[in-house]
Amino acid sequence: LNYFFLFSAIVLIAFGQITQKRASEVFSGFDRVIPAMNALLRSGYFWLSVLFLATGLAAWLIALSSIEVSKAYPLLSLSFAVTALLSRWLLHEKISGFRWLGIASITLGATIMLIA
Amino acid sequence: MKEMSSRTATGLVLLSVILTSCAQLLFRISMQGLPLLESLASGDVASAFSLVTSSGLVMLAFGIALYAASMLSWIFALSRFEVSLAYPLLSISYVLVYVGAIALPGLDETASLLKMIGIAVIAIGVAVISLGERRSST
Repeated sequence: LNYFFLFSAIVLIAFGQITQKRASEVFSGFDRVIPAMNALLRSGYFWLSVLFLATGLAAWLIALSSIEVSKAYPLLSLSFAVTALLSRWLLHEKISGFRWLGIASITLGATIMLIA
Repeated sequence: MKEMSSRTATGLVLLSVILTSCAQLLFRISMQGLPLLESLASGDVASAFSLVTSSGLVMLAFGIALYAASMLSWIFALSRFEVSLAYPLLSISYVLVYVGAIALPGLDETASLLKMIGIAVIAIGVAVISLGERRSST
């Protein structure tokens, strides 16, 4: 069950990024920052991203209360790869070999840092 | 908005990374001086209330404000960059938080070889991603 919360946290954080990207699309058509911010605060995707990130944080904190930090943190860095997969699926982003290689290296480096 | 230059968007990504890192450090500092959850858990509501006025809470609030600013800067950057490009770059904040925790007094983080190796591997990943973008844009 605790791993359920951990993987929920990873997926929720990834969805948080996807919805932030969607929210950023409201900026097209605005020349000034203030009206653009107004549009952002009225965007459903923005509040959805806040919801995803807040529930992701809550799930992460619940998971941390029972999973050892040295196991939980490396798994959290999977969120880079999950975000990439979701962005390909939902946003149709093309992910080059360079990006996959970079993401793999960053995931490995983050894992090393988080358990060290 | 008019399409911002990729240089501006890169600047916004870095600004967001720096703001997030500062927020994380403030969270750490405030949690050290704010055993609020412990007071509440032990049923000591009176001392939990007295902590509300402590400097730890001020830093916590400041951290949350920086976090919100970071999120705005991030969304502006995302209006220009794909999320599969920008999000991995957020890992730079692991490095900044680590360096900050070593440098700042009161956060007793010590340097370790393994973490230095982790930083190097992250840096290689960031370099590979930016190299790939430079290639595809020419």
